[in-house]
Order: sequence, then structure tokens, then C-alpha cells
Amino acid sequence: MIKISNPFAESTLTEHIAAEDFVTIFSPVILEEASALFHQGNVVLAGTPGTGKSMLLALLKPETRIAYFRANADFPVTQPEQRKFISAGINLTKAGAQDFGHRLAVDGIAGEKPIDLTLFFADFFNYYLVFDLLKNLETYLDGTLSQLQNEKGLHISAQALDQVAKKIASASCWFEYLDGIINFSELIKSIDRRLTAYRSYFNFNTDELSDEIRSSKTAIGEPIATVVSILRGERIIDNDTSVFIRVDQVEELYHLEAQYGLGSNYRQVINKALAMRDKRVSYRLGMRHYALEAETHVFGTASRLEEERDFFIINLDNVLKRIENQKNWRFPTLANDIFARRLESAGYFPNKDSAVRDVFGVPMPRDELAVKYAGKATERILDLDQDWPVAWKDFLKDLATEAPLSAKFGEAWARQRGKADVTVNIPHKNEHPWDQKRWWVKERNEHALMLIASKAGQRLIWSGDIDLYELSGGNVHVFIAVCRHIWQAWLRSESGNTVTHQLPKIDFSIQATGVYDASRSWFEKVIPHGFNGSSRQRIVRELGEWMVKRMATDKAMSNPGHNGFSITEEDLANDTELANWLNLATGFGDLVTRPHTTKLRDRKLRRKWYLNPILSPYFRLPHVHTKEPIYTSTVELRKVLSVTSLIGEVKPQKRSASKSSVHDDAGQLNLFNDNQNNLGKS
Amino acid sequence: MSTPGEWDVIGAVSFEERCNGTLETMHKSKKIGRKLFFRINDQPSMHSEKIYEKTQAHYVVAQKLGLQDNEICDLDIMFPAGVAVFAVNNFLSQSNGNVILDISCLPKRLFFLCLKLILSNKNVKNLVVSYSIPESYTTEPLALDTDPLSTLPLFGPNEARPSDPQVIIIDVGYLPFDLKALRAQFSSRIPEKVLLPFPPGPPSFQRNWRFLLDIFGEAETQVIPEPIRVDARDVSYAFDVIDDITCAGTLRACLMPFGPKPHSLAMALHLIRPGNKNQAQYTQPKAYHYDYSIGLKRMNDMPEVYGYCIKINNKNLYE
Repeated sequence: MIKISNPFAESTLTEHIAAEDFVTIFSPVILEEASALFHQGNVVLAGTPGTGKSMLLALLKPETRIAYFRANADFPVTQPEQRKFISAGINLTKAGAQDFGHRLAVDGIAGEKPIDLTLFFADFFNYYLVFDLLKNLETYLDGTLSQLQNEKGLHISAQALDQVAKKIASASCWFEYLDGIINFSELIKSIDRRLTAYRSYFNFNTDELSDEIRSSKTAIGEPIATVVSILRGERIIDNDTSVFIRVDQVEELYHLEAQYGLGSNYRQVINKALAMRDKRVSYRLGMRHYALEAETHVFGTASRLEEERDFFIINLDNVLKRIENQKNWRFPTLANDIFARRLESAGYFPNKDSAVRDVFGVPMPRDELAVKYAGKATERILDLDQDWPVAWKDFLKDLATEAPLSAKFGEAWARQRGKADVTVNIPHKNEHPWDQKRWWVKERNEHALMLIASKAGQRLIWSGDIDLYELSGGNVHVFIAVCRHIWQAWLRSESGNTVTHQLPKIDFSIQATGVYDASRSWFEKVIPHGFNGSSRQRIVRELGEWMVKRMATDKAMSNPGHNGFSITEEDLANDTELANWLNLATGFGDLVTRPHTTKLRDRKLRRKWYLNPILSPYFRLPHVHTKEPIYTSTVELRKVLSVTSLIGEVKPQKRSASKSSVHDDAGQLNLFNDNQNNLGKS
Repeated sequence: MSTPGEWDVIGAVSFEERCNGTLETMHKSKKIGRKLFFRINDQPSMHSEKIYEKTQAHYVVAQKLGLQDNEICDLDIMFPAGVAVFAVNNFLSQSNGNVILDISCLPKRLFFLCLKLILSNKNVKNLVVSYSIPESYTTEPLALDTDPLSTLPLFGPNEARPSDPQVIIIDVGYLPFDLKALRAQFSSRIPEKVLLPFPPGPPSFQRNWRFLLDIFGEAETQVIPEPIRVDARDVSYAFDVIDDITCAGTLRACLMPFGPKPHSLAMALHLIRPGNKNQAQYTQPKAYHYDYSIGLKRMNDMPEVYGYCIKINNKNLYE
């Protein structure tokens, strides 16, 4: 039966998806790029929101595995040795990591020193993970899960857990805190008591944290590794059963540090766990790029984390982003699979290999699109120079009635350096010089369409499978949002009123409406809701409008790549304030960045930025990235962004000692500068 | 220590004119005892200059109403709780037992904290919470750069491993937030209840509905729960409604105080009630519009200030 609802209305957010629904919604396509997740060794899953970090981590959760088992569905990991794992985890947001800032002493006022808070956090982290692991093991006492126990290499019974509890409690890593425990239930209670004591203290329900706790703080990573050792020694876990430690929302620590000026100690603590390279456990960290890149120091040492040695990164943005060779681009396969699964859940019977194309078709050919934009009054799309010969103007006007895109190319061609003779030597029909230059045309298609739509007062149109994949920028969350808005536009339309079992073919105009709705919603609702969202939104607005202006006034289409900008790494390194804002916006997916091979003789290393493609419809800016971006500098960028009030036109040389905090930029810097402390301002 | 019959006042020196409503009202009665007024420093923003100017102007008025320099405590908007706890506990330790908490201009992360400390302080025998009404609110965005959704200071999870709530209660206001971020934290389809301030006058009405549309899905993709209409200034009724929804506190609820302060007060009282299993989640703005609220509404030339009796003669009326 078909539901009269939107198959894409449900959130893509993992925690919101019940484990039973996960079984039907999760697409295994992404696993092909993330197989390291099930191997030994530490793995960092890095990516912007919506790239699937939490989804992949959820695959390691016992409740997910049990849901697959109960649904008699194939767990998406096929290799038997890779299915042999158990995990413990902490979601730092949900676990209340932020609360550790509440007891910070400021200006000598009663509270804890930053270093002590860090050690408390490490201890809390340790106990939380052990608690989670033990509770997860307890789950398998359920007799109906014995087959799953076998598959995972677990040998759990109530008696075995009671016996192992004594050994765990007597381990030296607890500094005698768990001494005297005689069974599993007592062990759980004692750990619970310690975690609750932390809760009480940080909620100010009690004034003191007991000496018993203060004097028995555990070393980061040691308790969970010890417990796993004991569980293996007691044959509760097979030696070849992997133990994964899930740590999600690591950026929460970055926010905590920034909020209270705590340096980067909390992330360093997690780094230390990774740096141990303890073979007993393998960490799986989910984080946004900025939380890792800004801090690789290891707590209490002078060393830094090293990629490949201490951990592997699965960069989900890179895995799914658009690449030159479209055939090797993984995202369309993933998006198609997710799309088909959603439709199946809604009662449709899509073709799994072509569902997106079946519903949305292919993008409209660019020349047809130009005809749509131009409408009947084709002359209005041209921007003719007064000085041009009448014959040339008439030629373009005439051409515009049949082929507005070609006419626009002709107009630009005449404005290009050394090509003005075309206005005198008017080409014959079908012998246009620009048509001979395939790459010249290809690079300018989107720019020309932008100018045509602008002159005709039309909104740019995106439709068809490839357009939608590209607008999603390799982000599943964006893709689902685009589909949701298109489907909603379709439901509002006349054709959407008729409920049938047939998969709809959604008209391009409805798609265009949905795409615009999705884009506007992304700019107006999604961006402002995140960390420093209003500020990031202002930055995106100014950058977007700046690039639109550059392209809209480029009548010669000399710079079709000016929907992006490029800065030297050197320039950027000298302006950390600006770099931090760009990095933050990139970390949240408002901007996308990649290294840029310069065309300049100086051969300096450069980096280029673009708006997230989903923002293109809102700004009426082409989403296709072509050569060359705007070669800019931090000085120019500061001018562009100075209207946001976030960044001055001039880079601050040193911080002013202003008398009033409202005129002081310290708070702003504090968001990014780990050594700043903006507390106690008056 | 204040003399018997006087009331100690906790409030704010703010860019909102209504910050002096309670002081002005009480000034004529000459029953003001000691004072603790918080001056909150927002994160620097495009509104900073005007915020500073307006705060200074209201401070001058407050001084004429008896506020002294040593009665002011400066705090950053995202203060570590310990600093505020120290200031409030220190103040309460010398109280004669009569306390007025003026929540009109205190950010929610501070007013919730104050209320919890006051109600847990054995010195306090009588507590009245006051709330001043402004003439209007700006039609522009009220706040900037909201913090990610998190628990309020002193109201973090109490359990070792936090359980999912059994119901989510959203109080509707002017500040939109990302409901998806909340859902990201919980693993099941938890029923959502919405409290809607009623009766609202336009433009509040449209604004509240826009808020609802904003949080319950883009492009009308989701069904908005039928709102429970609660008078914007009726604390006890709001408290009772929450009580009904949570089956007298037996259901674990996640409270989201995005609505008018009196509703938030009701939520805070629920959270403080002994044995409660609830938690609160909020996205604290880090900077506000300088015209967040405009003016101070008057009736018969007196500020329109509401007083809510919370604790009388050592009896907490909301326990």
C-alpha cells in the first residue's frame, strides 16, 4: 500500500533511527569505502555533518547487530572474521561532556583547576566506556541471542560474568576503588556510583567530590584495555574478537575547550588513548575535520599523533566527493541505493539500479535549458554593446530566437580579447567560431546560463539525476533533504494528488521548485542552527554575493570559474583569524575546500574554496567548478567579509587592551585560539 | 543582612529597559534589601555597540533606584557555572530569607541556575519570582550564534548513562532551534508535546506558528503536534500541564524551554522538584539583538510586573 506521505520526511540522523529501521534504511554501499572500520587499529571517521559518520559508528553498536539478527537480515559486513566484534561507546554530547566546564575556577573563585578537570574527564571517560562494555555484554545473556554470541566469539553467562567481575575489580588500574567486589551486579553498581558522583558534583547537587574519587583517578585508556584483557583471559571474549571503542561527536570537546578557554587538553586526552596503540582495543572516532586538524598533541607528552601510525583516517568527504572521472564516483551508487530503500519502505517497487533516474530523469540539455529561460522574448537575454555594428547585433538577435545559448556565447566571444573581429566578419549559420572550441563552450555553459536566466528574470533550474547528485556534493543528508523538498513540491502539485502504486516521474519544473526550497532551507535554517551559525551564515552570504557579483558582471565570460576563490597557503597561515573562520565554515560544510594547483609563475601552494553546492540555487550561482577561481588575498577577503562585523578590514596586529569587553575582540578569537581565555572580562 | 520585612533582589542590569521594572516597582515601597544584579557580556557581535550603550543607560537608571557598584556581578554569557554559583550562594548566605528573583532579563542558563540554588538554600523562607512585560519585541532575529543544543548548567544528566526521555515537551517562543539536533541524541520515536502561549496578540501569534513550522520540518513535510494552549503568564497552569503530560513526574521528560519566561519558570520548577527524572535542553544564544525587547509596559504609570509566589514560609508551592 502506498502511504500518502513523503518517503524522505524521516530524518537521516542516526540516533533518531530506531535500530529496527536501521536494518532497512542503511545502505551498505558506503561500507566499500570504509572497510577499515572493521579491521584492527584506530580509525578516525572524519567528515562534515551528514556524511554518515554516526551511521557507520551505529553499525558497531550491539543493538544494531541484534536488530539485524532479529530481523533475520544479512549484516552488511560479509567477512566472518570482520563480523567478530563487540563494542563500547560514548557519544560525548549525550554523555554531557560540556558539564565538565561548570566547575572551572575563574579569577581565584572556588572551583577546579583546568588540569584537574581534564583528569576528571579522563576518569569519567574510562568508567563510562567500561560501564557501557559491561552492560553490552550483559545484553547477550538473553538466551535468544546464543547464535549471535557464537558468531561474535562471545561466551557469556551470568556465572562467568560474576567470576570475571572479581578479577576486573582487583585490577591495579582502579587504584583500589573497586576493591572487595564479589559479583557482576556489584561491579556495575560501583561504576554507576562513581559516574553518578561525577554527575552530582558537576550539577552542583553536592559541594564536594569525595577524596576516594580524587585519589583514584584512572589513566586514560587503561581501564578499558585492562578489562578487555581480563575478558579475553577468562575466555568470555575470543582472542580474535575485536573490541571497538566508539567515540562520537569528538567536536563536542572542541566546543567545551573553546567555551571555557581550556586550551586543547580534552582532545589531547583522547589523542593519548589513540597514541597508546594498544592492540587490545581499537578506537573508532567520529568527528568533524576541525576537531582533529587543529589538535594532534598527545596529552602530557611532547609528541603528536601521526596518521598511518597511530590511526587511519576515513575522510568521508573525500570518499564521496565529485571526482573528475564520473564513472568512478561512488556517491551516485550510494544515493541511488538510499533512494530506492526509502521508496521501498513507502510501498513502491523501484528498480534498485535506476530509481533516481526513473523518478527524476536526466538533466535537461543545456541548450534546451537556455530556451526555457529565454522564453518568447529572446532579445532580452542579450546584452549588446552600443558600439557594435548593427549587422552583428541583428545576427545575435536572430540567433537568440533559435539558439539563445549560442547567441550568448557569441556575445561573450565578441568581448574576448583579440576576438572582436567577429562583429565585422559575421560567421555563417552553423559556422560559429565558438562552436569549434569545445572546451571553451563547455567551461562556460553554466556561466552563460546564469547570465541568460538573470537577464530573463528567471530562477536557475536544476533537475535530473546528475544535477541532484552534484548539488548534494557527496552528502547523504543534503541528498535526502533535496529529495524531501522535491517530493513535497510534487505532493502539492496536481500530479501528486493521485495516489497510485506507480513510481512517479517528476517534472523538471517541480524538481526546480523543490531544489530551490531545499537550498533556501539550507541557507536560512540549517546553517544558522549550528555552532556559531549566525556568524557562519553571514560569512556565506557575503562570499556568495561577492562571487555572484563577479560572475554577473563578467559579460565576456572570461572567468567562468569565479564561483570559487583561491588563496596562497602562506597568506592564509599569516592570518589565522580569517583562516579559522574559513575552516569553521568548511567544517560545517558551508564551504568546500581543496588544494589548488596555481597557474601563476610563483608556483606557491594554494587552496581554493567554493560554496556548498546546495547553496548554489539560493545564490543563483553555478555549482560546477571550472577553471580558474578568483585569485584573491586575505586582504581582499577581509574587505569582502568586513561587513559581517566578524572580521575587520585590517588584520589585528596585537590585541587591544580595551576597557570594555563589548569592544574587545577577545571573545571572538577565543573560539579558535586555544590559548585564549576570555573569562573574567568585565 | 537586610532587615526583617525587606526583600533581597536578584536581577540583571541589561540592555532591555524592563530590567529595572522590579526595582522601580519596589523602590516606592522602600522594602528593598540587598541586591545582586548580573551584568551579562554577550559574545561580540554586530549589536555590541548598541548593547553596551543601552546597558549603560539602564545602569544609570538602576543606580538612581539604589543599585550600587558592589552589587553588580559581571559574567560572560557562557560563564562557567561555578562563578555564578559562588556569587548566588554568597549572596544567599547573608539573606534574611526573603528573596525576589527577577527573571525578566536573566538568560535562561542563569535564571534556571539561580532558581535551583535559591530553592535548595535553607536560608530562604520566601521566594517570589518577578517578570516585567516589555512594550514590544523586535521583528528582526532576536539572537545570534546559538550554542549547540545542550543541557543547562546544573541541569545535566543525573544518571550514569543517560536514558532516553519518554516524552519531549517543547515550549514555543520566538527563538527557533534545530529540533533535528535534539532528535539526533535520542534513539526512539519519542512523542512530542508542544506548549503554545495563548492567547497571543499579533504579531506573536504568527511568530509562534512560524517557530512551529521552523522546527517541525522543512517544507511542511511533517505533521505538527496539536499544541496545548497555555496562557503566556500563567506559571501554575503551565506547571500543571507539564505535570499531566509527565504523569506527575513519573514519565521521564525532556523539557525545551524556548517559550515565554513564565513557562520556562514552570519547567525549571519541574526540574528542581525532588525525585524528578526530567532533563532540559536549550540552545543558549551567545549574542542578542539590542532591541530584543523594547520599552517597559506600564499600567496606571506603574511598570507591568508580575510576581509569582514560589515559596512562602518555607513551603515550596511547586513541590
